[in-house]
Amino acid sequence: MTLDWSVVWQHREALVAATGTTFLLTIATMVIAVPCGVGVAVLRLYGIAPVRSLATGYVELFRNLPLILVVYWAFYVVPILTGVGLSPLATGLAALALNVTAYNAETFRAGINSIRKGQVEAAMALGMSRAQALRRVVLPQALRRITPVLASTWVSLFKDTSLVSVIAVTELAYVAMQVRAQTFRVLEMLTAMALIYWLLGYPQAKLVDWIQRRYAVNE
Amino acid sequence: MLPAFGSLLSVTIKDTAIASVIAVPELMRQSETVAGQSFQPIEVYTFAMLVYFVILFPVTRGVDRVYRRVAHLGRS
Repeated sequence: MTLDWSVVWQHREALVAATGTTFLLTIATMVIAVPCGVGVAVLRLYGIAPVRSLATGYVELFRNLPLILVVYWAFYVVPILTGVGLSPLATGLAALALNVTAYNAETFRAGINSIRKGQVEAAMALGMSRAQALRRVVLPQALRRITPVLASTWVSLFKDTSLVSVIAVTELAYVAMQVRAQTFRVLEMLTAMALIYWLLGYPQAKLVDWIQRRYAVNE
Repeated sequence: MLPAFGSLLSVTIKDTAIASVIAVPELMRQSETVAGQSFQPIEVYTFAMLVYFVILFPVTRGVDRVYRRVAHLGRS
């Protein structure tokens, strides 16, 4: 068996661009999923009855579906149902955002629930409305508590972006597989792909560890 | 620790779908095949969604229930 590692270097530009897409997907998903997650969590906790069940239904649905199936579903079914044909990148982003929003909503709900009821009551006794108490008292504390969880969601998301390669989004996994198919250098490309993901993922995981130490709650 | 294992259980069930990319004939792969042969992706993929949900929802509910029973809930 002869290995030809030069194939990795030859396709460096494509791989770098693909890595950029991977990061773009991760960042864009989080930018959408954090505010939407707060929204869904607040609706689920404080909304009127039908809105509450709708939010609960959404969270339970997307938490209980494989991401790869959501990606396929968004790719094949949404254009037929809505008549809107999105690019693979936008479709992949939508599927990731739907999935991560559901997870973030649960994280935010747990964070909000972890702040004692007495604090909202105290804030309301001081003349704040419920919304003010939520925004000024509960959410800042909750956000600090769930930062470590959001950070580990981030790392999972970074790796999960590889799943959108099944609908031909030109991110790292897809481009590496494409080069593999063109050059027949299977072992080299898969190893290079693993190495790139690891080198980028490891510092992020270490950063999460640091955030978890930094924001640990001691009660 | 128990709830962490519990959510790992549902994560593992969901991740079996990834095996479809190397043509393991599980639910996801078979759905792709049937969707491709019948040209009815809406019905097939929506049905697959339903099946996964029906499998996973009781699992996560069960894990939540076990968690509520064993959790310290603010006491340590």
